[in-house]
Amino acid sequence: MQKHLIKLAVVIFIFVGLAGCTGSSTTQSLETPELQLSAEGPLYAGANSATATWEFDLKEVLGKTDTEVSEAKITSVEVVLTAADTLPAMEKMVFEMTSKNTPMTRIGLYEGKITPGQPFALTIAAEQENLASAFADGKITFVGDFDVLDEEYMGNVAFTLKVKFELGTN
Amino acid sequence: MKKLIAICAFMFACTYAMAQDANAIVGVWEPGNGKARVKIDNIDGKFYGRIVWLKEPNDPNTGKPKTDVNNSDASMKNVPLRGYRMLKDFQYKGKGIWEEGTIYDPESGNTYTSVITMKDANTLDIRGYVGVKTFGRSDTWRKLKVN
Repeated sequence: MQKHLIKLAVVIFIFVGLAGCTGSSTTQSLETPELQLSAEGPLYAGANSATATWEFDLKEVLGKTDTEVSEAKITSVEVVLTAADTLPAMEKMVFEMTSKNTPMTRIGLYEGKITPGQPFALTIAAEQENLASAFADGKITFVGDFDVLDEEYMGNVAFTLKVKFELGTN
Repeated sequence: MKKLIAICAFMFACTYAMAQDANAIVGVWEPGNGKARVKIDNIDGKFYGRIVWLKEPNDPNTGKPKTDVNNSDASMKNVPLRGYRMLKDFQYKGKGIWEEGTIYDPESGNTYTSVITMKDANTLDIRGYVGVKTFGRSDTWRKLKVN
């Protein structure tokens, strides 16, 4: 009996110790400002890449000092094709992100037609790497690969982009 | 003062030459099996390769465009293979070598650590491996001239 009690005490002690080591973590949402995802022409039939860069001061965007991002994942991506005089027919978008210390990670997929001025939300990957390291870098590059259906288009194409993150902070 | 200007000019020239060398990999390449063509781009100083052409673009069973059916994440199995970014995060290390990247094999769904060595202006040696470079597999890619 005494042995069991000692074992139980040890287990409780380990749990309490682990809980103490994790510190106080909180979860918060963060939305990027409206970014411009742009692709420079000429664009050809098939997949073409548009990129957007978000540079930020972590203290400023979190509104706190001495805060570290320990967990980060994307919860939504909304894209709108900017209207222009002439645009090629477009569909589908595969969305990825990278930073200096974060490998290119696939985040989302949209499978329908892309129409100017009409927002479309992407299906977000169920399995995401922890993107926390990107927040330590202070600069994130988003990449949208979209399909052009016309044979070629000589102009540029721009999208507006908003990305929502869920962050775990210490 | 003249010395400082000379040093700055030398450093600028070195940086410019390094960037030129790094971008030597940018272009459209064909793997040894000829089943695909991959366009390598520079995105924010790292190098990525997307499949831009497939010899057999459609799945013979469904007649529809091939997708990443071997992806372990069910939500991403519909990502089309044409346009797929299969080379990721390569960094130029000098002397015609790009490292710290990965190569994805869509036929198996596996990702390997990879190193790219430029043999000459039109030939790349791409080595994929797990853990130890010695136990990997290499493929020779040739550059395509795009009009």
